[in-house]
Amino acid sequence: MPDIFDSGEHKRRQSEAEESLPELVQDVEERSTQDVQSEPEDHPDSERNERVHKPKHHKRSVDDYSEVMRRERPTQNSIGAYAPKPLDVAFSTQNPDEDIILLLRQHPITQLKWVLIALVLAAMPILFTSIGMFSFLPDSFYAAGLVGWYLLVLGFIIESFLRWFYNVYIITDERIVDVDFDSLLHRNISSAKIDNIEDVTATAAGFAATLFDYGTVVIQTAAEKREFEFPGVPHPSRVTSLINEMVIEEEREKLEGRVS
Amino acid sequence: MMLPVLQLIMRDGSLALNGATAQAALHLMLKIFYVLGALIYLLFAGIVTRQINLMRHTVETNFSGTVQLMGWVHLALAILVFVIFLLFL
Repeated sequence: MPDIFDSGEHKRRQSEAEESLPELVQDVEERSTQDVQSEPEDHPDSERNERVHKPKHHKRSVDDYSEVMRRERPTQNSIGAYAPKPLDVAFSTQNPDEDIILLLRQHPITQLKWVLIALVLAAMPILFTSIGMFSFLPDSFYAAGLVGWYLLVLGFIIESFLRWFYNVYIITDERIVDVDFDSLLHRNISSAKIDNIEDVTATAAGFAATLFDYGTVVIQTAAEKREFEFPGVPHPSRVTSLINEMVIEEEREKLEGRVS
Repeated sequence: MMLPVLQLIMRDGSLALNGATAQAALHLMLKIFYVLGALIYLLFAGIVTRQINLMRHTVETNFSGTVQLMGWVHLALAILVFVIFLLFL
């Protein structure tokens, strides 16, 4: 049976609400006063006021909603390619209340190419000397050539390592950040909020990718940068699941009004 | 070291150099080549160090200090090699 609108009943409820309003205001004021009294004495007044008036952030921990992260332990190894809940890691545009959930780099096996190139380059002088290619050079120039060559190889190793080390993909509880360090003269940092993520795809193709469990994660967003690509990252399916869980949590936050 | 080159220029067009002069000229050219190479490398090492400093603030990890040290050692080696090439070759 449908409810019939009763204007008398409605007015009665409204007047009850108006009567109880001063009590509610008083209750809130009392709670605020209690909060101020419970603050430690060593905080300056301005900081205390900021903390008191700052809205409570009802953000849940990632372990509360993510099945993937619940199984992971915080790591201190910030040089790894898959660092869940990394300790002692921060980035320049990080907000004070933003937590890094996952830090990714390309799988070490994908770096095998430059390691092999460096080994070949390091072995080249031995090869050329054995066939007497530089016998026309005086000893001093030959030694200087060797020093210069190995310095070049060192430079190549350092540049390749830096390109790997600083090419990071960061997933925080608020957004995804892509730090591209393509070469010494080119770097690019882009980010997209979690609620802008539209689609996540993981691709692992090839023998090595299957064997070592790495692949490419492509994230389509509604942000300015339409597509984020994390190539060669470890455990692509886990990363995809995590991002999906975060998108769901973000939607849940909106529905429950927990958005800060 | 400059003497053989001067002899090469002042010989009134005749390029009949003796073995020692030709060798000295070759050494000078090699030295210039080495020093220029070391100078370019020094610039490269400087850029590497600068980029490490910038990236250190972009992504801070507990390994950043080690990477920065690596950059400084690399730059020091580049300076050392440049000086050796310039003074002792």
